Amino acid sequence: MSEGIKEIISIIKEEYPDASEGEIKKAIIDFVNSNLSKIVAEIELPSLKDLRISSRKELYRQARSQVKTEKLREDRSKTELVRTLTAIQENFSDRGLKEDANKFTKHIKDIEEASITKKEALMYIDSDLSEMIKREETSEEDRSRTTKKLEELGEDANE
Amino acid sequence: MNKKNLIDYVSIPKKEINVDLSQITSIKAFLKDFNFHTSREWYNFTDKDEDIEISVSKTGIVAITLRISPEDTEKAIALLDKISKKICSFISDKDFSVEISILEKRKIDMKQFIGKEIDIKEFRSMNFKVSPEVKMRISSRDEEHIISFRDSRDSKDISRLLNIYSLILKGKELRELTPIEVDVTITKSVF
Repeated sequence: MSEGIKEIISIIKEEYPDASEGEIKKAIIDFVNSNLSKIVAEIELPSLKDLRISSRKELYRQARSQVKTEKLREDRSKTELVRTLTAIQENFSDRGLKEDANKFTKHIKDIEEASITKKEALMYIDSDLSEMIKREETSEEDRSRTTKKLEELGEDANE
Repeated sequence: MNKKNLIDYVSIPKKEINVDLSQITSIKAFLKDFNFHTSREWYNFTDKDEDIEISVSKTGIVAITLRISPEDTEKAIALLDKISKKICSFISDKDFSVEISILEKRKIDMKQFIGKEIDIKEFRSMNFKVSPEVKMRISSRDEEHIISFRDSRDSKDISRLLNIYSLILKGKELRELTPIEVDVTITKSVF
């Protein structure tokens, strides 16, 4: 028996000192059986829709992390960068995120044609991925949040 | 959905430095609320919401990426300048050159900025020399622009760059931003 369950039984025992451990266990099982749907509702398990959103958001975050790594590595060749971006594009496409995959197709074309610098292309990609992440957020972000954090750091920088 | 500007603020030491762990410990104490992880060449600090990412390379480069509302951008750049200088001070007392790139989501009238005599349809990006030490580059993608500044000095005062940036947003012309005695050079990258 886990420590958690032992603790629950000891709490109930304080309220019902005459009840045996077997009776308490039976009472717990009966309670859970008859209230299962209510308990599940109160735990607030994520819906399938929420899980899909969370999974997409994680996918975009992983892609942004890969892009960040590319931004920090100036020694990466154009071929290596295109390979990374193509992998992200294919991943989006495989998951049915056609519009997002198309954006990457355009970014890859920009880099291959050298119409903008690698650094600029990565900034546009970072920005697009940030918007994809933002799109998946359920609540409206507090605009002042980031500025407040910067101000706090700015004050620390004075010390 | 409010679109955010993206700022990359990069400080590069003029002489390569080997960053040691005691310096990183000091930076960790300064960025105490940030998540920390290392990669092969970089020490990375990220805030909980991933709006601020700060990376310090083992050779002393400090790269900060910030995602911020367009309206707060100017204020944020001034704060980033202060924060970056503080982090650099943990690493070295030598000079750093600074590169700031802003992906601007607000509308910029490029035709107004460079003058009506130049056909901007030919341009994807343009380079300007706005003072002996400061180079500026503007590239565009649809309605968005990246404005980059490269200051070869360790600029003691960010206000000059911020002033140029604000005037571009206000629809001023290039000739209004540039001191008369400084040559303006515009080179272009064609599509």
